[in-house]
Amino acid sequence: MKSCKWINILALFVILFSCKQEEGPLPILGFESKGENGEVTYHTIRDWTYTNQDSVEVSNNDLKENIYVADFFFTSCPSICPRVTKEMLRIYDAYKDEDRVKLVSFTIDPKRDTPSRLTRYAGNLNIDTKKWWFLTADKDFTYELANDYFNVAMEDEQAPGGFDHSGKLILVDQNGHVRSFSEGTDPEETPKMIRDIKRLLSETN
Amino acid sequence: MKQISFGLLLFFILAVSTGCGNNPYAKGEEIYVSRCASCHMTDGSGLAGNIPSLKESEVAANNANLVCVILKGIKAEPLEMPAQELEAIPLTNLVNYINHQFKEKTSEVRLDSIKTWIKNCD
Repeated sequence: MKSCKWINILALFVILFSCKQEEGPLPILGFESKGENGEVTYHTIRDWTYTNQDSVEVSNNDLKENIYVADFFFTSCPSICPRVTKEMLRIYDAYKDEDRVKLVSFTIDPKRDTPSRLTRYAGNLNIDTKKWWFLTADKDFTYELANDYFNVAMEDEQAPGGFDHSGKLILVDQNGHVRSFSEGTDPEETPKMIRDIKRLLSETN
Repeated sequence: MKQISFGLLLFFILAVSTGCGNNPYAKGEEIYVSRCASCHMTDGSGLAGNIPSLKESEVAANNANLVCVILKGIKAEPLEMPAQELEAIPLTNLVNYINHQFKEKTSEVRLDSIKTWIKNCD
């Protein structure tokens, strides 16, 4: 009975500790550099312009009023993408009615993933394409851009489907800073991402 | 208090052991996990309109159709299902696992039937 009490106290500390981590503003992730005058520059996603599933050109500037979750995928992907897209869909459902939250999926296979194919893919997911963009552009730019989002994307004949890539979901704020990430292949990490989005929203209203 | 905790523990052990131990198709599960789960998901739920749920799919509902689809794949846009090379025995294991795991009422499929369905696919 006595040991039971200690376990309870320990459990309480674990809960308190984990709650404490989830208070206050989210950190800005990535390397930061200090200028000569002591000014800190944070890791920022570079500017991008892409064609969306409706063949409309969109850029990161269009997301200045929003926070968004990004991932890298391709429609004919036989490995991790369906799982990652499924987690994106969970996040979409959680913030369906919150206009400030957007989702952005970059294809790493622009040759096959034309806007019309992306339209069909998005249509099958039954989502609002004003809220969730499926974007295509030059593949070399996308492979570079993926690094800004802490993801890896490259062509690799040995990899399933011909591309090697990671499945991180990345949360980006209005200033283009990365504020949180989760493994899109692990459904257990998604609830934390959903909570982090809420934290970021409360920071910005 | 002690008795209640013990009872709870017993309940959990029972729940976990019955929950995990009632799949008689371990070989089929192995094949499902390595060949099917990344698209159809571990729980068979698929991906909205892009990848069918094995619980609701009309194709999967019929064993003969299921066998053909596994062996021949489906050419579709934007996603296609790749054909799977499987001999009759592993295919029987896989079909039994899918039926057992994702369908309400099923009876075990025998190797003979699978062999007939394979022939009918060609």
